[in-house]
Amino acid sequence: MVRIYDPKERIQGYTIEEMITTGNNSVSYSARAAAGDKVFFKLYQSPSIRVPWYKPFVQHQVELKKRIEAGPCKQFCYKFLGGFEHERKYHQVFEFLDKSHSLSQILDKIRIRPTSVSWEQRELMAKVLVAGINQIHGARIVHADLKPENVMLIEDTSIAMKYRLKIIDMDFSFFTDKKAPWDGHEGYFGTPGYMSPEHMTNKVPSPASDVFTLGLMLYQLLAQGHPYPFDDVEKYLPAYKGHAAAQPKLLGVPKAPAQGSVIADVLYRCLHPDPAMRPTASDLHKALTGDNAGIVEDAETVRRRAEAEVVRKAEEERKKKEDEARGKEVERIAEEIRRRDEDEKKKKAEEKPATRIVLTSLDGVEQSVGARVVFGRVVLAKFGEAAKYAANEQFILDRTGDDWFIEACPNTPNDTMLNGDLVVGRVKLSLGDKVGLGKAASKKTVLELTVRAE
Amino acid sequence: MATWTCPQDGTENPLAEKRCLVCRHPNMPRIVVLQSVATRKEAEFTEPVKLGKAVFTHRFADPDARFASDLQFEIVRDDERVAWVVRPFAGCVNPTCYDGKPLEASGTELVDGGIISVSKSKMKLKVRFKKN
Repeated sequence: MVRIYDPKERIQGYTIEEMITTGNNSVSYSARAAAGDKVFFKLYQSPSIRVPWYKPFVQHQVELKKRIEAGPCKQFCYKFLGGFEHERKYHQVFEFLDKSHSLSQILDKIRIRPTSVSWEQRELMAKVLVAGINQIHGARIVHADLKPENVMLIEDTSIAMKYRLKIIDMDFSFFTDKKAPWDGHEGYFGTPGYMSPEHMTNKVPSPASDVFTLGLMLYQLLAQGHPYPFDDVEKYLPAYKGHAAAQPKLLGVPKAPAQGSVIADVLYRCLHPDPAMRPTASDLHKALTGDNAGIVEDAETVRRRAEAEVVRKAEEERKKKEDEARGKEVERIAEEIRRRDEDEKKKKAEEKPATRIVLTSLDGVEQSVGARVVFGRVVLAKFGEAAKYAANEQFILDRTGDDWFIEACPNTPNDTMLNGDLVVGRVKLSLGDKVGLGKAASKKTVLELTVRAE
Repeated sequence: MATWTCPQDGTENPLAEKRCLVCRHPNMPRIVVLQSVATRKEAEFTEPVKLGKAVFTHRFADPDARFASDLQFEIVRDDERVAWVVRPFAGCVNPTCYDGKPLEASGTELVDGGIISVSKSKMKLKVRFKKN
């Protein structure tokens, strides 16, 4: 349970003024230092001093401060003024960014009135933000929780941008050359809509993860808006994996020598699902400034990209071969099945009729038969005048299993013939057989009907 | 470390950087001031300018103007080099020098405190930059 500080309460020389936010890990206040400076005062709920990663976390904050202050990233980040333990809770104090607006507020402003922040200002903001992240990466730090709320813009009318940009909320940033103290104890923080695919698949975020989030933010600052504007968090990962974002359409003409097409291409690549295929923050900065008339990559990036390209090509080749082999196999199997079917049909046609058979006259008149039928003068009348030579009951077509049989009725004036021969008893039919009426002695037949499959 | 503040984005850049490290805005002074070493008279330039005998006589009232040709040199902005540059005109009677050395044909970069002269020692003009 965290104790909430009251206004005017004094903690280790700082006088609390008011509560600003409560987060998952901390409660933040504005406060006054003993010298009167306004500060951002943070009381941590996590890590609690009981967890094993508390001490490493405190050491981590010290090293983070050292790395930021030692390098050029200092001017892009808020100042860490110090940390201390009070009532068994960790506290940290940062510079207070007065007259500031978050990038989130600026983006809202742009959405409501696009002309409220000029294209030149937006372009400058993008360059400073990317340069800042590039310097943070240069200090071997991964921000890991980038989002518009963590980019502050402090009013300054003396410069063309009208704001000075500071990157904040870095206490859970970590180093590329060391494990984070909370690794294995806690997950890596992120915010829906701004998490990278690595965040969402429980992998350790890397500088490329920051670049992914930069891409999401720059789409909003320079182009048509958030590339994945979903309300449902479940939709993000499939869209990320499919690289489903539309190509960015820049809302202005970049200052020469930067080229719109180069910037659009590099922004789109920021959202590549494979971290190795994303540009570095340095690439992104070079594209925004038009340095070297395009993107000049450092040796490490070139090597990384070349490796990824080799793997991609090998995979593509393997898939192609597999597909070809599979295609050939499928073709072969289909051909085999087709041939077998044909063979079977032929065999069946030769051996036995189908389940239904049709008697067809030379004129093309047909009579379909599906069950036992007694053919006589009436039924045969449809085949023409020759039906008059038939008895009332001339022959029977009957089926047993898959086989059809013909049986001549007794005491008929004319004989029932099959393929020119007298039908005696029950005779099995085959497709193509010819049934007719006639006289066995003369071998003459009339009303010739051919047995076919239906 | 001495720095200059980018008027575009507020970045503090090392003095040695001619362009802002963040937005590549050139750090070039807006105004070039030339002052006659002999008469202390000054002239300010914000645009490229061609100088010769007449200007030296009227603006600087320098008696050494007689050693200059009608067109002696020009001062231009070189955006690629991010610098103001002094370039000689061909066919001058006496060469133009900068800090005692003849000018390069492509132009010599001006530096605060540098001296442009006709020959090595005549018509000396001291260079000064002003931001605004």
